[in-house]
Amino acid sequence: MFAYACIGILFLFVIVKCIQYGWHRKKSLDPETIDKALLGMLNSERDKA
Amino acid sequence: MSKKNSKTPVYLKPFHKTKYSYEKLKVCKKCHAFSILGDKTCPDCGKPDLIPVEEQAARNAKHSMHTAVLIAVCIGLLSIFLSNSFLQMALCGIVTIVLIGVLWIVQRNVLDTESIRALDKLFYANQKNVQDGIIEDYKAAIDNWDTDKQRCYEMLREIGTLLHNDMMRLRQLTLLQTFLLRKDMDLELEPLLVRKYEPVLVDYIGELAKIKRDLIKDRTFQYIMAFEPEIMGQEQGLDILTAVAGAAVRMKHYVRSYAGFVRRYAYNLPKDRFLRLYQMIEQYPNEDWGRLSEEVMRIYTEKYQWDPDFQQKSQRGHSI
Ligand SMILES: [Zn+2]
Repeated sequence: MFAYACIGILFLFVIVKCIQYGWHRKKSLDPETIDKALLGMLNSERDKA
Repeated sequence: MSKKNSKTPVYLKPFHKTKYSYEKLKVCKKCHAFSILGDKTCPDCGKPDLIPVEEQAARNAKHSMHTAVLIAVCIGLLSIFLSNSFLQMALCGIVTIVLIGVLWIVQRNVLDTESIRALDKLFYANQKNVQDGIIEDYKAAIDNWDTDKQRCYEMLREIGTLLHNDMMRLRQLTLLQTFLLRKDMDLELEPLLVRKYEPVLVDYIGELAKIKRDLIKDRTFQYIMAFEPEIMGQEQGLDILTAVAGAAVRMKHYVRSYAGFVRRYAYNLPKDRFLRLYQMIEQYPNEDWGRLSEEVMRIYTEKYQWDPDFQQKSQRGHSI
């Protein structure tokens, strides 16, 4: 019985992980956005020419 | 000694441009220090563990995926261990293998998006480390200010891809003004434009207008026009303004956009530049050049009416 419970947990775990990956893919970040965020972090608004 | 003679001839390393500025950034695998200058050796701990941030992000993403697989394996093994019969054991084993297989296939397909996410996470979690790393790089570059100006400039140019402020730009411009600039050098202009009037920048623009006209684009023309009275008052100001007007002549778009500016310095343009301007105006008579065309015709009549170059080119222009 415990073995089936474990398999159930494993099944849920894999499903949750796959949904999580799919969600990340759907809301995928753009490298340009990351670049802008990094430049924004390193440079204050005042400095931008 | 003339200004030009006091300049040093240098051979600058080619500047490798990247699509995204973060591609220049590296991180130490051991101490998590960030640097834009280091090649392999970490400037903080001295270990040869510096890797590009993208590589670190991919490692982080893979690590997180491996952890998920490991958890799945542990749960699967536990199910086998807790089985009451051989049949149950086999069943649990097969289901575990299938589920882990599915997880592995999904992970393989999302590695790119997960790596990008990990990169964002890496920067967000290490904001202070990134800032500190860049400041350390800046200090390392400035240490060479008096001893090795070329190295100092090359370092500042790299840091300048991430650090955008007028102090950085002015430091680079000051160094560039100590070098004997050549056409074949890997130079840049637009990233060095500052907000205020800076004679050192104007001098640099003046030099580029002579040796690398293609670097002079819209933002530079706008800068020069914004500070035209100040430039006129500076040493060789008229020469610089004329050289910039000469650079505008290389493209119809610039002549049309800054017709007033070109008109003001058209009289002083060298013959070859004026000839180009004259041909442009002749070639597009229906274009709205404002008062520029009148001024060009006036200069032509006054200075070049009997010049054979203008006659030949003019006839050729009409025959096209
Ligand atoms: Zn280190």
